[in-house]
Amino acid sequence: MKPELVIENLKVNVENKEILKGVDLTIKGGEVHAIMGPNGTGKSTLSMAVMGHPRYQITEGRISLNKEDVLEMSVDERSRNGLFLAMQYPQEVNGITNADFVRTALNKRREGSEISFMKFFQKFEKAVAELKMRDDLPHRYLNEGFSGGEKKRNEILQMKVLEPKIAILDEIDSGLDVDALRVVGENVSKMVNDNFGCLLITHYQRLLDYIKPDYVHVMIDGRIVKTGGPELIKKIDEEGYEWVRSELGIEFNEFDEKVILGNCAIKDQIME
Amino acid sequence: MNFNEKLFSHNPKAIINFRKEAFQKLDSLPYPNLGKLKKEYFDLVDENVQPLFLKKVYEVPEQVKEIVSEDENVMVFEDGNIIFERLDERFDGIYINDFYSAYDEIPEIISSYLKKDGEKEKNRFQAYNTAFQNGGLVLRLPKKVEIDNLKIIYIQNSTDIVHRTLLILEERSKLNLIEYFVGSNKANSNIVTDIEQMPESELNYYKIDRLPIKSRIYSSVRAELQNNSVLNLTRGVLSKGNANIDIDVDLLKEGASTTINSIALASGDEVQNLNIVTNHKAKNTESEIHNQGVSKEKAKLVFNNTGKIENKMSQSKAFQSTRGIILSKDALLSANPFLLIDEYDVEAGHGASIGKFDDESLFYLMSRGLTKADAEKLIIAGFVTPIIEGISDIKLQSKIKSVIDDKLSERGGEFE
Repeated sequence: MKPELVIENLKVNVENKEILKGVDLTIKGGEVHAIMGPNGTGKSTLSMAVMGHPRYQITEGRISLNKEDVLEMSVDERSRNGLFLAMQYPQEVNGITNADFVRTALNKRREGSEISFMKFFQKFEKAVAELKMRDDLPHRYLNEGFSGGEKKRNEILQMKVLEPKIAILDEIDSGLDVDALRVVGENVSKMVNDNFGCLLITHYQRLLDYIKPDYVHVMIDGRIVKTGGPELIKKIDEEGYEWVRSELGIEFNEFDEKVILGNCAIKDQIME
Repeated sequence: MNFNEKLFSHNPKAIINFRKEAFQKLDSLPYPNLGKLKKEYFDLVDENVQPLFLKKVYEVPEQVKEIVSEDENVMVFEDGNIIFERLDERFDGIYINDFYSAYDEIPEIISSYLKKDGEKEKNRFQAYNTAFQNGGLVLRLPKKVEIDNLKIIYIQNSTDIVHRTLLILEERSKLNLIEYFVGSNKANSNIVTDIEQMPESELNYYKIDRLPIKSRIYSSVRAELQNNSVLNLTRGVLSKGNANIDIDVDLLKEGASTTINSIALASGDEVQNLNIVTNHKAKNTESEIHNQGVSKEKAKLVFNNTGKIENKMSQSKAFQSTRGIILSKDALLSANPFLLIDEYDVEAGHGASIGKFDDESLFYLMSRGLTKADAEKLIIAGFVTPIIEGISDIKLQSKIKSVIDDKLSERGGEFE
């Protein structure tokens, strides 16, 4: 059976302010969805709420994964059931090596059939090579001292090893230079199959040159206001979001168009 | 408290006199810096100091086998006696023996040390050490001699341990020393270590104690550093009792430098008080103090750091940092940094970060499938790992890791 994440009428408060005002979205295995939209419209809130961050309070609506109630699950249960969130700001954790961390996480979801040390390392190092990351990565501490781009690639690395069913990638493209973006895009694209679907959250279309979405959603002010195919990307790229106002008759003012022009990527080290 | 001269009748007369002198002034001396902690936490309970005379054994004692490797230099003390030693040929020119033998064998060094000693006693526990000492070690490294591994293990079995160590590093000598202190039942332990470092000498010193529940521990390191000498001290406080740890480093001559790392884990109703003082008494001297602490249940853990730069001691640097995690609402963890600086041309700073778990780190680890308990354990392990990994000894590393693991899983009931 293909995995299926269903979000229905989701309303979320952050510090008593309503950020999501009723979101409906279904993601199935084999599908790539992209959510685009200006800053501050609730895209990251959606990802944090799905993963279960305690600061994001769900006031209404439902989330289910393969018909099981996600809102009843703790954060770690959501993960072990197949959800994954590649975070916008991955945490640095001192003293835990990347390899030890991922191995602990992997074994946690395979209790009773733990992966052997050798097999794990083969799998891990293969993923390191495919993402063109530094050879010493397994022994470095989790994200500590990583550049922005390295942190983002490390999120993808964890995803490759943990093999979730549904992944949300929250602005995985920020901080990546063109080469790293291509590497990340290709790696994510390769993962997509009937057993894996993903949701990309992004400001700009660059990432979508490498991962072709089947569905593009436009989020404005806590709602998905339009859903379409890849043609929407081109429209947003050319026109920004002004057309939403005139075409859909939706008023909003919480965005700053400049953000979609900016590119704060730093040249990152790609190991060839 | 009485001083029973007969206990030490095997000692030379001169030593008995030093003991008496120390005993007489004991009550007039202050406690170490206890801050707001009650002195009762550190007072001796059911004192039982005896001089014991144990025979040597020809194998590494069972009690400590797991932390001794085949190929390393090792010396084991039990209840104040050297019961086992295995030292390679590089030790031929090095003086290493128990304190009373040293008094016979290198009398001029020991008498001059003992004469100065009276002035060094800053508190009653140090005077107690002089009065009731029932074991000791003198190690003197000649010029230019380098010893890359020496492990000294102290075992407490049937008496309180009142131990004195004197380490003398002559010019340009170098020593990597690991000291591990274990006990088999609750007792009072009082260990004073004096370090004299001559110019350009280097001491890398790991000092770890793991004494059983209800122990009372006083441990002091007093170091004097001459020109360009270096002291790197890592202090692991992993005992289950109440511990007062004093570290005083005097940077006496130009270019002397010290780095002090401490790890302390306090749980249950333990009280641990660390006083770390660096005295900059010469130009261009450097000190760094880094503490890491974990406090859980009803434990109290206090770090008092003092960096003192005297007037005219320009170009000196004094830095301090303390990182701590508090695991329950009744636990106490505090850092009191002091920088006493009487000179303009210096660099100094301190920082402390103490708190409960970082929620964002917990969320991050849990979002990869780790349970809350696993995530917490991993964060704490990660917190102390960088320091433990500085110990080149793999057996000791894994021993310390398991001790920390034990200590953290002793009881449940964490922060909610």
